[in-house]
Amino acid sequence: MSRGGLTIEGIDRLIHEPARLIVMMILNAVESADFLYLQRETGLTKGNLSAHLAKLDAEGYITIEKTYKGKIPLTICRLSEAGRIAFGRYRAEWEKFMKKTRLKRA
Amino acid sequence: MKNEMEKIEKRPIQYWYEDGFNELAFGFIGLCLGFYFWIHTRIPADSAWHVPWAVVMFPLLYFGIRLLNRMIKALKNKLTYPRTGYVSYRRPESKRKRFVILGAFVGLNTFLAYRILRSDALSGWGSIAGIPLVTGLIGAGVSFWIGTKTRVFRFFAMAMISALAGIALSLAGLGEMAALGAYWGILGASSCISGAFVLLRYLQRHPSPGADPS
Repeated sequence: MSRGGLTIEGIDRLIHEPARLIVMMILNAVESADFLYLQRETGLTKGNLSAHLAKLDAEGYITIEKTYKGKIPLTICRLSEAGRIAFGRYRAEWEKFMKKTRLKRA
Repeated sequence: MKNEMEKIEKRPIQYWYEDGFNELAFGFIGLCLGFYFWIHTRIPADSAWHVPWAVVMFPLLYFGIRLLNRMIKALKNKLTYPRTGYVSYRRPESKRKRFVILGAFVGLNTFLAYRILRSDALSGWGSIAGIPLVTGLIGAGVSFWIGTKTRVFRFFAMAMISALAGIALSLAGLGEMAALGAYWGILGASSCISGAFVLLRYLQRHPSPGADPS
């Protein structure tokens, strides 16, 4: 990815998508969260959120546990170790890029 | 973007306070403490009952807080999580912070009990000055810190109430114990009122998933 001579090769495109970025940020701040909470926080439809979660799961960034609470199905999502590392790296790369952008503007 | 990120990451912490159960629980503890200190003022100054009554504060607080924690969890399971989702919070990795907080809490209470015992045994109610003031300012500091950390603005209001109540009661000439009782009563009642409003608003905004929306 390049903008006006600035490269952000280190940016993980899977995380960089806004909806997935919010999911990753939330899961990074907690131990785990269920589907309903993530849906409410992201404002996505069920189908849309499911698709994003499936992508993150396929990459090994999150783990999805399907369980029941009484008779109500519960989908619990948590960030995996690989996800935590990838998110930390994404953040560092993004901050580095923003710093460069600021320097260039100045 | 960094600010936006911080805002999003603060959301799960704010979510813990969204239903008002914590404030209700804290308010209940405050009212109990107010009652506890009020009982102290009713015990004659030369009575031997001051010692067991001061000692009883620790197990009461400890078990009371544990019981309330369980109640908050049960209420959240029953009312909050089915409405707006379940979140499990990460425990701090180091136990050091928890030990420091617990140590400071126990230390403050020990100091308080020691002052109470000494004042009762040696010099009477009027001898200790400033405990409601110190408690009020510490309470304000803690509330302000929680407000800054969570960006839940009603904690700033609680900080103000705590500081004002502490200052006013320390100057009111009620006597140390009565002023301390009144301080906890005011703080407890304010917290209960705030928690009840927050809970009502939360329940109105988020009806039960099984409820008929019409």
